[in-house]
Amino acid sequence: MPETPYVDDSAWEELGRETVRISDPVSMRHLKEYLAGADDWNPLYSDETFARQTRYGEIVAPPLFYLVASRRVVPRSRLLEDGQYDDVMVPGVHGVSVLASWDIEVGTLIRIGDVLTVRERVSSIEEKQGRSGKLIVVQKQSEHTNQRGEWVARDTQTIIFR
Amino acid sequence: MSATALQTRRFVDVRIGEELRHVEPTSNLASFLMGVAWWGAHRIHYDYQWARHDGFEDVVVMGAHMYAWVDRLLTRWAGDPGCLRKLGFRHLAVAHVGDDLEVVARVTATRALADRGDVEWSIEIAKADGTRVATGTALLQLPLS
Repeated sequence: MPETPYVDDSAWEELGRETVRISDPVSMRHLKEYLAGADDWNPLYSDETFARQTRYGEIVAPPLFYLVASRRVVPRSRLLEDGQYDDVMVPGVHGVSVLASWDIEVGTLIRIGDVLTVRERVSSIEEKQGRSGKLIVVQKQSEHTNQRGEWVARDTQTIIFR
Repeated sequence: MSATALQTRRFVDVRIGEELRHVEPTSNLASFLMGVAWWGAHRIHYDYQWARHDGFEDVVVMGAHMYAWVDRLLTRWAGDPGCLRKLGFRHLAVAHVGDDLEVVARVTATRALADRGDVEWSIEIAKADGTRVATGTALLQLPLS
Protein backbone atom coordinates (compact mmCIF):
# COMPACT_ATOMS: atom_id res chain seq x y z
CA MET A 1 0.00 0.00 0.00
CA PRO A 2 1.44 3.44 -0.92
CA GLU A 3 2.37 5.90 1.79
CA THR A 4 -0.55 8.14 2.75
CA PRO A 5 -1.94 10.43 1.58
CA TYR A 6 -2.64 8.98 -1.82
CA VAL A 7 -5.36 8.77 -4.45
CA ASP A 8 -6.29 5.51 -6.11
CA ASP A 9 -7.96 4.97 -9.47
CA SER A 10 -11.46 4.72 -8.03
CA ALA A 11 -11.31 8.37 -6.90
CA TRP A 12 -10.47 9.59 -10.40
CA GLU A 13 -13.30 7.48 -11.81
CA GLU A 14 -15.75 9.06 -9.35
CA LEU A 15 -14.57 12.61 -9.99
CA GLY A 16 -17.51 14.68 -11.25
CA ARG A 17 -20.02 11.83 -11.00
CA GLU A 18 -23.23 12.84 -9.24
CA THR A 19 -24.65 10.65 -6.50
CA VAL A 20 -28.19 11.06 -5.18
CA ARG A 21 -29.29 10.31 -1.64
CA ILE A 22 -32.78 10.51 -0.20
CA SER A 23 -33.07 11.28 3.51
CA ASP A 24 -35.38 9.72 6.03
CA PRO A 25 -38.32 11.99 6.89
CA VAL A 26 -37.20 14.70 9.30
CA SER A 27 -38.50 13.94 12.78
CA MET A 28 -39.14 16.18 15.77
CA ARG A 29 -36.85 13.84 17.65
CA HIS A 30 -33.94 14.51 15.29
CA LEU A 31 -34.60 18.23 15.38
CA LYS A 32 -34.55 18.21 19.20
CA GLU A 33 -31.28 16.28 19.16
CA TYR A 34 -29.82 19.03 17.00
CA LEU A 35 -31.21 21.77 19.25
CA ALA A 36 -29.57 20.03 22.22
CA GLY A 37 -26.26 19.85 20.34
CA ALA A 38 -26.45 23.47 19.20
CA ASP A 39 -27.98 24.57 22.52
CA ASP A 40 -30.44 26.64 20.51
CA TRP A 41 -33.93 26.35 21.97
CA ASN A 42 -35.59 29.11 19.98
CA PRO A 43 -39.36 28.46 20.46
CA LEU A 44 -39.80 28.67 16.69
CA TYR A 45 -37.87 25.39 16.52
CA SER A 46 -39.52 23.60 19.42
CA ASP A 47 -42.85 25.14 20.48
CA GLU A 48 -45.71 24.37 18.13
CA THR A 49 -48.07 26.95 19.65
CA PHE A 50 -45.47 29.69 19.24
CA ALA A 51 -44.48 28.61 15.75
CA ARG A 52 -48.12 28.56 14.58
CA GLN A 53 -48.36 32.27 15.28
CA THR A 54 -45.38 33.20 13.15
CA ARG A 55 -45.13 33.65 9.39
CA TYR A 56 -44.00 30.02 9.13
CA GLY A 57 -47.22 28.64 10.63
CA GLU A 58 -45.43 25.59 12.01
CA ILE A 59 -42.15 24.51 13.54
CA VAL A 60 -39.12 25.02 11.32
CA ALA A 61 -35.51 23.95 11.80
CA PRO A 62 -32.47 26.22 12.18
CA PRO A 63 -30.86 27.07 8.81
CA LEU A 64 -27.90 24.73 9.32
CA PHE A 65 -30.01 21.78 10.42
CA TYR A 66 -29.81 20.65 6.79
CA LEU A 67 -26.24 19.56 7.51
CA VAL A 68 -27.47 16.77 9.77
CA ALA A 69 -30.89 16.08 8.27
CA SER A 70 -29.67 13.81 5.52
CA ARG A 71 -26.75 12.09 7.22
CA ARG A 72 -27.07 8.34 7.15
CA VAL A 73 -26.98 6.04 10.11
CA VAL A 74 -25.07 2.94 9.05
CA PRO A 75 -24.28 -0.40 10.72
CA ARG A 76 -21.09 -0.47 12.74
CA SER A 77 -19.68 -3.00 10.29
CA ARG A 78 -19.70 -0.29 7.59
CA LEU A 79 -17.56 2.11 9.59
CA LEU A 80 -13.98 2.57 8.50
CA GLU A 81 -11.20 2.20 11.05
CA ASP A 82 -11.31 5.92 11.90
CA GLY A 83 -15.08 5.78 12.49
CA GLN A 84 -16.08 7.51 9.27
CA TYR A 85 -18.05 5.82 6.54
CA ASP A 86 -17.89 5.93 2.81
CA ASP A 87 -20.86 8.29 2.39
CA VAL A 88 -19.05 11.10 4.14
CA MET A 89 -15.51 10.26 3.12
CA VAL A 90 -14.14 10.57 -0.37
CA PRO A 91 -13.89 7.09 -1.85
CA GLY A 92 -10.42 6.39 -3.20
CA VAL A 93 -8.67 9.20 -1.30
CA HIS A 94 -6.59 7.93 1.59
CA GLY A 95 -5.05 9.77 4.53
CA VAL A 96 -5.99 11.69 7.65
CA SER A 97 -8.70 14.17 6.75
CA VAL A 98 -9.29 17.65 8.12
CA LEU A 99 -11.93 20.12 7.10
CA ALA A 100 -10.48 23.18 5.40
CA SER A 101 -13.52 25.21 4.42
CA TRP A 102 -17.26 25.09 3.95
CA ASP A 103 -19.34 27.57 1.94
CA ILE A 104 -23.08 27.39 2.43
CA GLU A 105 -26.13 28.99 0.83
CA VAL A 106 -29.43 28.48 2.58
CA GLY A 107 -32.82 28.37 0.88
CA THR A 108 -36.12 27.38 2.46
CA LEU A 109 -36.10 26.17 6.07
CA ILE A 110 -36.74 22.50 6.81
CA ARG A 111 -40.03 21.40 8.39
CA ILE A 112 -40.94 18.26 10.28
CA GLY A 113 -41.70 15.44 7.83
CA ASP A 114 -39.60 16.88 5.03
CA VAL A 115 -37.68 14.40 2.91
CA LEU A 116 -34.51 15.75 1.39
CA THR A 117 -32.89 14.78 -1.87
CA VAL A 118 -29.15 15.37 -1.81
CA ARG A 119 -27.18 15.59 -5.03
CA GLU A 120 -23.49 15.35 -4.37
CA ARG A 121 -20.31 15.17 -6.37
CA VAL A 122 -16.59 15.38 -5.90
CA SER A 123 -15.76 18.41 -8.02
CA SER A 124 -11.98 18.43 -7.76
CA ILE A 125 -9.01 16.46 -6.46
CA GLU A 126 -5.62 18.14 -6.34
CA GLU A 127 -2.29 16.91 -5.09
CA LYS A 128 -0.22 19.67 -3.48
CA GLN A 129 3.00 20.05 -1.57
CA GLY A 130 2.47 21.52 1.89
CA ARG A 131 5.03 22.65 4.46
CA SER A 132 4.94 19.25 6.15
CA GLY A 133 4.68 17.13 3.02
CA LYS A 134 2.22 16.01 0.42
CA LEU A 135 -1.43 17.05 0.73
CA ILE A 136 -4.49 16.08 -1.24
CA VAL A 137 -7.16 18.75 -1.49
CA VAL A 138 -10.66 17.57 -2.35
CA GLN A 139 -13.74 19.66 -3.04
CA LYS A 140 -17.25 18.24 -2.68
CA GLN A 141 -20.41 20.02 -3.76
CA SER A 142 -23.93 19.20 -2.70
CA GLU A 143 -27.41 20.49 -3.31
CA HIS A 144 -30.36 19.73 -1.04
CA THR A 145 -34.00 19.99 -2.09
CA ASN A 146 -37.19 18.96 -0.32
CA GLN A 147 -40.12 16.81 -1.47
CA ARG A 148 -41.89 19.92 -2.78
CA GLY A 149 -38.96 20.60 -5.07
CA GLU A 150 -37.93 23.64 -3.05
CA TRP A 151 -34.26 24.44 -2.76
CA VAL A 152 -33.05 23.96 0.84
CA ALA A 153 -29.29 24.49 0.63
CA ARG A 154 -26.22 24.13 -1.50
CA ASP A 155 -22.67 23.97 -0.31
CA THR A 156 -19.05 23.36 -1.20
CA GLN A 157 -16.68 21.82 1.28
CA THR A 158 -12.94 21.47 1.01
CA ILE A 159 -11.23 18.60 2.78
CA ILE A 160 -7.47 18.19 3.13
CA PHE A 161 -5.92 14.75 3.38
CA ARG A 162 -2.46 14.56 4.88
CA MET B 1 -47.85 36.83 19.68
CA SER B 2 -49.13 37.98 16.31
CA ALA B 3 -48.08 36.53 12.98
CA THR B 4 -45.93 39.59 12.34
CA ALA B 5 -44.24 39.67 15.73
CA LEU B 6 -41.20 37.45 15.26
CA GLN B 7 -39.23 40.49 16.48
CA THR B 8 -37.27 40.58 13.25
CA ARG B 9 -34.47 43.11 13.19
CA ARG B 10 -34.93 45.87 10.62
CA PHE B 11 -32.30 46.90 8.13
CA VAL B 12 -32.60 50.59 9.04
CA ASP B 13 -31.43 49.79 12.57
CA VAL B 14 -28.18 48.08 11.50
CA ARG B 15 -24.85 49.90 11.59
CA ILE B 16 -21.56 48.92 9.98
CA GLY B 17 -19.14 47.88 12.72
CA GLU B 18 -21.90 46.47 14.94
CA GLU B 19 -20.46 43.47 16.73
CA LEU B 20 -21.74 40.30 18.40
CA ARG B 21 -19.57 38.27 20.76
CA HIS B 22 -20.09 34.94 22.43
CA VAL B 23 -17.73 32.61 24.30
CA GLU B 24 -18.53 28.93 23.92
CA PRO B 25 -16.97 26.66 26.54
CA THR B 26 -16.40 23.37 24.71
CA SER B 27 -16.70 20.04 26.50
CA ASN B 28 -16.96 16.34 25.87
CA LEU B 29 -20.62 16.53 26.91
CA ALA B 30 -21.40 19.25 24.36
CA SER B 31 -19.52 17.31 21.66
CA PHE B 32 -21.45 14.17 22.54
CA LEU B 33 -24.77 16.02 22.20
CA MET B 34 -23.86 17.40 18.77
CA GLY B 35 -22.45 14.02 17.78
CA VAL B 36 -25.84 12.43 18.40
CA ALA B 37 -27.57 14.77 15.95
CA TRP B 38 -24.70 14.71 13.47
CA TRP B 39 -24.35 10.94 13.78
CA GLY B 40 -20.66 11.54 13.73
CA ALA B 41 -18.59 8.47 14.51
CA HIS B 42 -15.27 10.00 13.41
CA ARG B 43 -13.02 8.97 16.27
CA ILE B 44 -10.97 12.18 16.38
CA HIS B 45 -14.03 13.83 17.96
CA TYR B 46 -14.39 11.55 21.01
CA ASP B 47 -11.52 9.04 21.21
CA TYR B 48 -8.44 10.63 22.80
CA GLN B 49 -6.09 7.79 21.81
CA TRP B 50 -7.24 7.92 18.21
CA ALA B 51 -6.96 11.70 18.09
CA ARG B 52 -3.36 11.37 19.30
CA HIS B 53 -2.77 8.59 16.76
CA ASP B 54 -3.93 10.98 14.02
CA GLY B 55 -1.54 13.67 15.21
CA PHE B 56 -3.87 15.89 17.24
CA GLU B 57 -3.09 17.08 20.78
CA ASP B 58 -6.52 16.10 22.07
CA VAL B 59 -10.05 15.35 20.94
CA VAL B 60 -11.06 17.74 18.13
CA VAL B 61 -14.08 20.08 18.16
CA MET B 62 -16.38 19.39 15.18
CA GLY B 63 -16.53 22.05 12.49
CA ALA B 64 -20.30 21.65 12.27
CA HIS B 65 -20.56 22.40 15.97
CA MET B 66 -18.84 25.75 15.48
CA TYR B 67 -21.13 26.50 12.54
CA ALA B 68 -24.15 25.86 14.78
CA TRP B 69 -22.92 28.46 17.29
CA VAL B 70 -22.57 31.04 14.52
CA ASP B 71 -26.03 30.14 13.17
CA ARG B 72 -27.44 30.61 16.71
CA LEU B 73 -25.64 33.91 17.31
CA LEU B 74 -26.75 35.47 14.02
CA THR B 75 -30.32 34.16 13.95
CA ARG B 76 -30.98 35.26 17.57
CA TRP B 77 -29.78 38.70 16.59
CA ALA B 78 -31.90 38.72 13.42
CA GLY B 79 -34.99 37.34 15.18
CA ASP B 80 -36.10 35.41 12.09
CA PRO B 81 -33.84 32.48 11.11
CA GLY B 82 -35.05 32.78 7.53
CA CYS B 83 -32.87 35.90 7.23
CA LEU B 84 -29.65 33.87 7.17
CA ARG B 85 -28.75 33.27 3.52
CA LYS B 86 -25.02 32.51 3.35
CA LEU B 87 -22.25 31.33 5.61
CA GLY B 88 -18.67 30.53 4.74
CA PHE B 89 -15.85 29.25 6.93
CA ARG B 90 -12.11 28.83 6.53
CA HIS B 91 -10.44 26.63 9.12
CA LEU B 92 -7.06 27.89 10.24
CA ALA B 93 -6.26 25.81 13.32
CA VAL B 94 -7.64 22.82 15.16
CA ALA B 95 -9.74 23.47 18.28
CA HIS B 96 -9.60 20.89 21.03
CA VAL B 97 -12.33 20.00 23.47
CA GLY B 98 -11.70 22.08 26.58
CA ASP B 99 -10.82 25.23 24.61
CA ASP B 100 -13.03 28.24 25.30
CA LEU B 101 -13.83 29.53 21.84
CA GLU B 102 -14.92 33.09 21.24
CA VAL B 103 -17.15 33.77 18.26
CA VAL B 104 -17.05 37.35 16.98
CA ALA B 105 -19.37 38.51 14.22
CA ARG B 106 -19.05 42.04 12.85
CA VAL B 107 -21.13 43.90 10.28
CA THR B 108 -18.82 44.81 7.40
CA ALA B 109 -21.24 46.12 4.78
CA THR B 110 -24.89 46.95 4.27
CA ARG B 111 -26.80 47.32 1.04
CA ALA B 112 -30.40 48.51 0.67
CA LEU B 113 -32.24 46.79 -2.18
CA ALA B 114 -35.77 47.35 -3.43
CA ASP B 115 -37.41 44.77 -1.18
CA ARG B 116 -34.82 43.98 1.51
CA GLY B 117 -31.51 44.95 3.03
CA ASP B 118 -28.39 42.84 2.73
CA VAL B 119 -26.11 42.76 5.76
CA GLU B 120 -22.64 41.27 5.33
CA TRP B 121 -20.65 39.98 8.28
CA SER B 122 -17.16 38.85 9.04
CA ILE B 123 -16.84 35.92 11.41
CA GLU B 124 -13.94 34.94 13.58
CA ILE B 125 -13.62 32.04 16.00
CA ALA B 126 -10.61 32.17 18.30
CA LYS B 127 -9.15 30.45 21.34
CA ALA B 128 -8.62 32.31 24.63
CA ASP B 129 -4.94 32.82 23.73
CA GLY B 130 -5.96 34.58 20.52
CA THR B 131 -5.23 31.72 18.12
CA ARG B 132 -7.67 32.02 15.25
CA VAL B 133 -9.45 28.72 14.67
CA ALA B 134 -11.66 29.84 11.80
CA THR B 135 -12.67 32.91 9.89
CA GLY B 136 -15.66 33.39 7.70
CA THR B 137 -18.37 35.53 6.24
CA ALA B 138 -22.14 35.62 6.44
CA LEU B 139 -25.00 37.27 4.61
CA LEU B 140 -28.32 38.12 6.24
CA GLN B 141 -31.27 39.62 4.41
CA LEU B 142 -33.50 41.80 6.57
CA PRO B 143 -36.77 43.64 5.99
CA LEU B 144 -36.03 47.28 5.19
CA SER B 145 -38.09 48.96 7.93
